[in-house]
Amino acid sequence: MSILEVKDLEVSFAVGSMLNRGALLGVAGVSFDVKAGETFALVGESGSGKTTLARAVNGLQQISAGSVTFDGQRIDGLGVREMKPLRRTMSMMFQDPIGSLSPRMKVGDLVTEAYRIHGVKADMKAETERLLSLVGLNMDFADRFPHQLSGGQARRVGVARAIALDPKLVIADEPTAGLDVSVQGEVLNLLNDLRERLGLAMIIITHNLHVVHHVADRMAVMYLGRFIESGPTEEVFAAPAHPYSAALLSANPEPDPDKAKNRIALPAEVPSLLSRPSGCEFHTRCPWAQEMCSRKAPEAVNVGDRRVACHFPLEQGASPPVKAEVS
Amino acid sequence: MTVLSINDLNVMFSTESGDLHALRDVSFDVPERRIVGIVGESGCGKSTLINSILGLLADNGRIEKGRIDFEGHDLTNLDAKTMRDLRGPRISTVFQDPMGALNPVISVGQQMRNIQYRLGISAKDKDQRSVEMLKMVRIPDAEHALDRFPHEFSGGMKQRIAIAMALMMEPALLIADEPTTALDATLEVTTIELLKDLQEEIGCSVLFISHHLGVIAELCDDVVVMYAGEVVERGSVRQVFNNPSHPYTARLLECDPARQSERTRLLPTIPGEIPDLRRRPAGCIFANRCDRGVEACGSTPPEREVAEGHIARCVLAEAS
Repeated sequence: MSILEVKDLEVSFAVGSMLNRGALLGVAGVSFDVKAGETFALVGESGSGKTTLARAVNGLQQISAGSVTFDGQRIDGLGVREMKPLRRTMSMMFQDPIGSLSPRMKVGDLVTEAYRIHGVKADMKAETERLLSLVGLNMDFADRFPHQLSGGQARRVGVARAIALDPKLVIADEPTAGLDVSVQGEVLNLLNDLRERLGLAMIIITHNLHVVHHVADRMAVMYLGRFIESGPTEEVFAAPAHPYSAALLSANPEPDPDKAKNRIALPAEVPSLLSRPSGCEFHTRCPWAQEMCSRKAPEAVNVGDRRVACHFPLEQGASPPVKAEVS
Repeated sequence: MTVLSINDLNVMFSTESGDLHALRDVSFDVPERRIVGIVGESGCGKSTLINSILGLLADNGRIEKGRIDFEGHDLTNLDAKTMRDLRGPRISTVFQDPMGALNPVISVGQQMRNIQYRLGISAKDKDQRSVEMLKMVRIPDAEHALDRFPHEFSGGMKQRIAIAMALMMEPALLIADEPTTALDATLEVTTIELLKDLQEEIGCSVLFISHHLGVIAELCDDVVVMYAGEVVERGSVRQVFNNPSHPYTARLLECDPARQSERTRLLPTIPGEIPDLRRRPAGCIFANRCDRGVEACGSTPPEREVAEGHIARCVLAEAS
């Protein structure tokens, strides 16, 4: 059963001055669903709309079109008051671990803040102890302030806060950014353990592809606010069908100095959302681009269990055509 | 030739609850025209090390013992003026956040002109040099970029401009502190490839700090592994990555999800915590988390040479 269903979601931002109004689409028509107990990963460059999409799902960002259905209920367009009871079951871990904790509250109060907000009666001390031990921190931490925590400890407090009221869905925005590999493993194992025991669904936003490979059941690659490829993680990793996914996967630095690198080089400059390219929006950087790509926007097609928005989906192991130098 | 040579460096911080021994007996060299990577978890002393080199230790920090030799100077007791003359023209830096290096209210061209104030050339010539430098870091439309402000560039471009500025005076040593951490995979790769090209072209040495093992493997010639303020292993990238000889290095490499080719839900970790540096344990610093501990770990481990230039601070390290 799907816990979350997103259909044709769009988020637009007003830009420009009073006389010269414009709008840019941060998220441009995205559909996906997340099942209970499943981990769904969003990957893509910064500015591709990952965080905006997460905020829109969570109701922190107004959407301009489409629908969001959570646990059988339409939640798009709900006001702050109507959203509040839903936030018990849908929680968010923000990008900056220390910045998302109030600097004037102690860890003990931070992890049980949700109980007070939602008026849940409980033995706060026992709950603090339960939550802290769940994330592998001892009770000494309850009296600490956020600035006395390391990045990894602050992440764990963030996890404890997110799972305090047994949510059905956790949205984790870059849960391991800036963490060392061993601490990163601890945080991810913790989330995975909770997913297994509590059956919670997760949306993970990250640009660490190695992490996605290990923890996500399904994934979506975003480019300029659209899904250009989505489907089971293993299929995408085994044979990326969209040239952008292929380039992204090939650009993954690996800790092996002798490994042969078959990089697909992309021109570094991402087009501006204010002037989206014509046709397929990736054609300006695509090594495989053909004449029709600049004219006609591709419809998403099925490749295996995946949806791929490309006129010419790649075969497994395809390497880019050698182009004559144009000077 | 060695550009930078650090010997037996010990740094202490005075804190309310006693002295904190942040760096203990740190020694390594940065040879000419080499890229040396420093890898270690946060809190292992990477930033303290850079600040010691640059003479920018916080007020409560002091260099207890040791030397930092750079171009005939011992940087541990250099007067402020000489140090100022070295910082910038001879040793320059790139940090994680490019906005921290760029002034948001001054145009890029003006900032690049300011850097060249020692050269005594006309503003026009300075601009000419700036344009060349921006072209080298592949900023499109470099001539017009001079009139633009930092916020008009994307994150990857800002970092490339910061790199251009750092290399403008052709320093002997570039210190790059996590310069690609804030960038995405594709931009990260283009930035490190660019850094490598520029290093070869300018002929400087680079001290590259990162906790991303993949980036270190890709970019660096040599690597120094730090743990809790000590150098536990150093050698060429191939030696250290292919034959990790300190248990910490071995565990760190195992922890990287990139090393797991099979998909696994449970990622490996290193159990335990870094010891409190206010009360440094006697003996091996990694002993409390090490799964190969023996009795001899209770005394300070010697530096063992595993192969030529490959050194591990562990009693179990053996020459292969």
